[in-house]
Amino acid sequence: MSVKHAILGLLAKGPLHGYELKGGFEELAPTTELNVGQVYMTLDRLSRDRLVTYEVVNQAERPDKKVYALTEEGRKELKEWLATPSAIDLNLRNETFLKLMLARRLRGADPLKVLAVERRACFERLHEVAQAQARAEQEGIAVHSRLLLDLAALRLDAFLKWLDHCEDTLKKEGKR
Amino acid sequence: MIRWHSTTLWKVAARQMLRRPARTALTLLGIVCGVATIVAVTLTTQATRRAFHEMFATVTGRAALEVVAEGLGGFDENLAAELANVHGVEAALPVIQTAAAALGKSGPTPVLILGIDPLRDGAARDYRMDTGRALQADDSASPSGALVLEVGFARAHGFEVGRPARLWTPTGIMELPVVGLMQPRGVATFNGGAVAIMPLATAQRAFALPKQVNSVQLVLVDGTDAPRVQAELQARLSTGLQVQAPSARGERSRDALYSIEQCLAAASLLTLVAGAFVILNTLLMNLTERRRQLAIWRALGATRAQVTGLLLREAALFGCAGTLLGIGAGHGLALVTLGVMEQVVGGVHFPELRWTSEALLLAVLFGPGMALAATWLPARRAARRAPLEDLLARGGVYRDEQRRWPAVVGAGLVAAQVVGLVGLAQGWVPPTMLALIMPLGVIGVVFLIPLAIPSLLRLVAVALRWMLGFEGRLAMRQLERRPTRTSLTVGTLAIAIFISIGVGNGLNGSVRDIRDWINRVATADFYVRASQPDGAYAITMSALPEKFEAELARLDGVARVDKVNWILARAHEQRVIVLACTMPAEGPLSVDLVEGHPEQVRRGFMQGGAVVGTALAQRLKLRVGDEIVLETRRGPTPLRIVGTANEYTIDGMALYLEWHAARQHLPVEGVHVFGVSAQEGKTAVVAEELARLSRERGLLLQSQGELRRYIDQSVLAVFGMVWGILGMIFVVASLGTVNTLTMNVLEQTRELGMLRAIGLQRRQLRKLIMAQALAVGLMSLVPGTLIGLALAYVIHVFSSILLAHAWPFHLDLALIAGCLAAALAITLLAALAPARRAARLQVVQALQVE
Amino acid sequence: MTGTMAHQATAGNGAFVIEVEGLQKSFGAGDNRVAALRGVSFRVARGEFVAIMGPSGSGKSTLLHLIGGLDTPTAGSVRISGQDVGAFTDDQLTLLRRRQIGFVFQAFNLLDVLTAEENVALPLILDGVAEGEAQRRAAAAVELVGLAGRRRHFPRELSGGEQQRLAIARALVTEPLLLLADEPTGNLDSATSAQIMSVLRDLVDRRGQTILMVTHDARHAALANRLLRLRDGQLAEEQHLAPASRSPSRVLEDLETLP
Repeated sequence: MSVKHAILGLLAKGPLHGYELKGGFEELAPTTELNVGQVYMTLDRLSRDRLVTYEVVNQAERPDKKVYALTEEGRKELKEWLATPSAIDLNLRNETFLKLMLARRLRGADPLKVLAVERRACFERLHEVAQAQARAEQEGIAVHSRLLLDLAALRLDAFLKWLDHCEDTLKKEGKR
Repeated sequence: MIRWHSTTLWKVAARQMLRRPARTALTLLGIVCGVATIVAVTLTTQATRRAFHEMFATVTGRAALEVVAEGLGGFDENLAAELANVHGVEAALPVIQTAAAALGKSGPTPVLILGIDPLRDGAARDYRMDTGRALQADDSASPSGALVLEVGFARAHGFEVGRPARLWTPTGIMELPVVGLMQPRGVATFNGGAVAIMPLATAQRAFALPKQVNSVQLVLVDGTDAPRVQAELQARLSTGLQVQAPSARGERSRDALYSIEQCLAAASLLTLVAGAFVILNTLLMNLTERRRQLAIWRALGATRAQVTGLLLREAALFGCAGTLLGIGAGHGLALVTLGVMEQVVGGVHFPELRWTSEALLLAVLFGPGMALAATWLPARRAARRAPLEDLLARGGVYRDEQRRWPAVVGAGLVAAQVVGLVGLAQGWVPPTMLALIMPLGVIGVVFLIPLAIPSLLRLVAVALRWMLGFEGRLAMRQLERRPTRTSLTVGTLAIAIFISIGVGNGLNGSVRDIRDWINRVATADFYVRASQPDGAYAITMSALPEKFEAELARLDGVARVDKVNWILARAHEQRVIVLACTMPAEGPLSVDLVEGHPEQVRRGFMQGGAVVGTALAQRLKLRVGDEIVLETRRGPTPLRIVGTANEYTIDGMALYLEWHAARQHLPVEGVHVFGVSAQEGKTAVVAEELARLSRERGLLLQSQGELRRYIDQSVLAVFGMVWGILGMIFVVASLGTVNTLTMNVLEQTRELGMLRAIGLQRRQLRKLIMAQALAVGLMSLVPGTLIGLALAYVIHVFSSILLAHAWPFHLDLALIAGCLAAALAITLLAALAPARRAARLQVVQALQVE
Repeated sequence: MTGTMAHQATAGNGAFVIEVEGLQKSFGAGDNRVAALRGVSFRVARGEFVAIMGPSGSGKSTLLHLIGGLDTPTAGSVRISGQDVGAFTDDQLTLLRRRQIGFVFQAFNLLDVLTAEENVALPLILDGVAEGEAQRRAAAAVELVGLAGRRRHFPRELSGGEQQRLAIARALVTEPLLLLADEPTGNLDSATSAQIMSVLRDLVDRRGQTILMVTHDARHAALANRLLRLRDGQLAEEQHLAPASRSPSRVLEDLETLP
């Protein structure tokens, strides 16, 4: 998750200070919790790269806060980022895969049993997600949450299909 | 439980029928044709029977019995007084009841003469007058006599009260003053009002029956048992007299129409059979289409009985609709057939058509009955299907399963018909069964056709491929896939073909034979009479005076004058007609001789021997040389049979006697028809003279040609009726074909869509459908022709046996060619609508059809 | 016959709606013999929502047909509310389908000669219920699935989703013991499928309906309470699924740790 570019995007609408940025980010991507320190680190780097500038605002009875704003360069960078396709995270080297491959090799380990266990767990998750989807519909939860739930469901479904496919392939291999 | 009262399920049935309006309409039309034909024939038959039965009953009024002499001649008038004393007899009325011709403004017209005793007649008849007065006692004594007519008849023919009316009687022209006109009630309703009442004394004078009557009509005491009195009286009467119910006079006329009625009944049953096959075909198509739907019903919890019930409801609706429409159509058709019958019988006026419970019952029975009978078994089978198979089926075209039982049933039915026909021929089976036996074989043949279908398909496939290339091949495929449907369609067409060929050939043979007969029998150049006889020689037989013979003979150019009378008689308990005739001493005999050498026959005839109709001879199992016993005034009299002849009058139950010989045994008063032969080259002269004479005196004149044409017309009228019904069968068969072809297109929608998608043109598609039609037509030609020829032969053999004379078997090739051409034309016509429908297929939609 | 099937069975032996024991089904004969089910056993209690999954050829549809009385087993038994339906006559099976079981098919299988309401009322009509009463109950069922405004329409005038909802209403109108759904969302797009699944879920949650559903879509199976996995005609796996307890947001948070 590119925090750097998210901050650029959040600043596009107007200057914000640190905490506002953290809040804005969490609103955008509800499943993540950002560390304040991470935010400031990123902001420092961004300002070093001249993508943002800041102003110091004096506050009575409070420490000074920095209000950050997008530079022209920053805007360009944002535009380019929006126009460039993102890397797709296929998560190919997941743990399940490792377990399966190892189980194939090891004597006394049954890859099919591994599969069954993984499948159960995956389905359990899917069950949760499906119910959440239904509730989200009913409770009128925000669109971006629902979209994420949908993505989760589809990914889990895809994963389950892959597990079934692994089973078929391993069984055929076993027969030979 | 089927729950017949559930309105929803009836609604479902109705809506289901309306989903395929064209198919429903065509099938309905098939039922309507069948029901209408049966109804029309039944109504007509009943109307004619009733007419004859009631006709004579109304004449005798309240008299329940009458005493007549053999041959309807005269006997002592005092018998009436004797019989009046019999226990149970309230009144015995002396009557002269006979036919004469009244000379009206448009020429001679037949009337029934009643010579009555005005004082006592009121016991039997009521006379309600419209104008003038009824007969009175002094009219009997009056030398000028008196006459009472019916008001409508009088007006139609120009008779009025106060003016004299002239009548042809055996004693000459009699002029009587018309004293009154009756209202059209009671006795005045006979034959549309053709009744004339005169005093008994006058009648005795007119008909040369001095102190005689020819009928004593008996009014019985209320509550008396008529048959008992009849038996008592018969025992008391001398030989030659008999007691009968008045309606017995009408039985002869009924006899005359018997064979025609049988023919019509058989033909109408065949139409019904064809209609039933159309229903069956449609039903099977519907069931195939609805397999999935019916499976859904079963899955939802409809029992097998309930599914059967659903289908039976549809059949019931079909049947009821068919009956309702058929009743209307049948009534219309009956009016037509009744008109034809009137023409055939000639001279008799039939009353209005009346609906009887029997006709209604038949309509109700045959409409729903036919539909339910055709539906019952297929419905049960459809309900017994395992629902799962049909639910899961992913569309596509199924192959029919082949079953064996139809062939067995078919063979059985054909065998039954053969046995039946043999039985009829041998006389074990009564002739009334003919109408029922014919359809058996027809149904059986249709059931057997599936056996022939594979070979027929192969045969026609070759022809089609050669004629129509690859469209022909495609066409055959659909027909091969659906052998049952193809069989039924081919079957109904084959029925139409073979019935037309078989019966048509027979009819043509009959017509030819009748023409031959008439040619041989009608030897005179001209025929002079007072009225045209009705078909049974029972109602409009009026006589001219015998002395007229001399007047005719005196005319310039006349070579000879012959006389013929038709006398109703009995022989061996059989009703017969005696033709009393004069015969020339040389030249051709005016009979169509079968057995016997002409000169020997002439000699024997002159000596008082009889020439017997072949049918009568066969019925009585007599031959030349045997004796036939004729009932006469003096009791049973044996006559030697000197020859047998072909005779079409009254189905051949006739015998010829020489004029004077006949007179010895039976009453011969006046002459029914004079036959005038002209000298060589003088025909035109005689024609002129006779024409003049007829005009002056009020006679009916016919040339030989006109007589032949007249008879021809009657014959052709009857055969026209039969051909009409045969045509109906063709119509029904074509309806079935349209249904089949349309259904085939429907089933092949996806396939045809695919063909269009890969490049088949619209006109090629049309060609494909026409090819299918052609294939069906060609397939039906083979069994149709073969069975038709066989049927023609069977009918020929049969007719020869029935009419007891054989005419050579002749195959009418023009007829056969015509029937085949008609069949092909009909199939191609039937294909027009389905072909157009196929051509209009939208490719995309077609491909999406399951 | 009416006495042997107690409507809404308060079965003597516990609350098991379905008991399947050693169920076997084979098709064809001789060399062509195919074993669709090779001995399946399980039990379904009242109010359970059971999903049956498996690759094609695993016998899942066959299982459903056997439970629904559309087919008879080669061996083993199926008990509905304690009654062994293997011994039933055709008429008894038919009554079972009519009164105790509601079917929902992939292809909807509505009758196009009947209006929506009439389609729903049909099982009642077949049962001899008076027309007025049948119409009333059908109207209630139609309203339950949210199609009140379309009662008088014919199936061909309804969308796929509406037709399936109608089929569900029809399946419910006799208040059956058991609802059997064979790929109910197979012919529908994802949005409509979600709708249908929500209807089914509702029936279980709010009315305690027992549902057995065959599906090949894991996302729909995931909405059930219990999963049966068939493989090669046998029960390969069984999984109970807990009802929802957490809010969607919490669920989302946890998902970050997924593969």
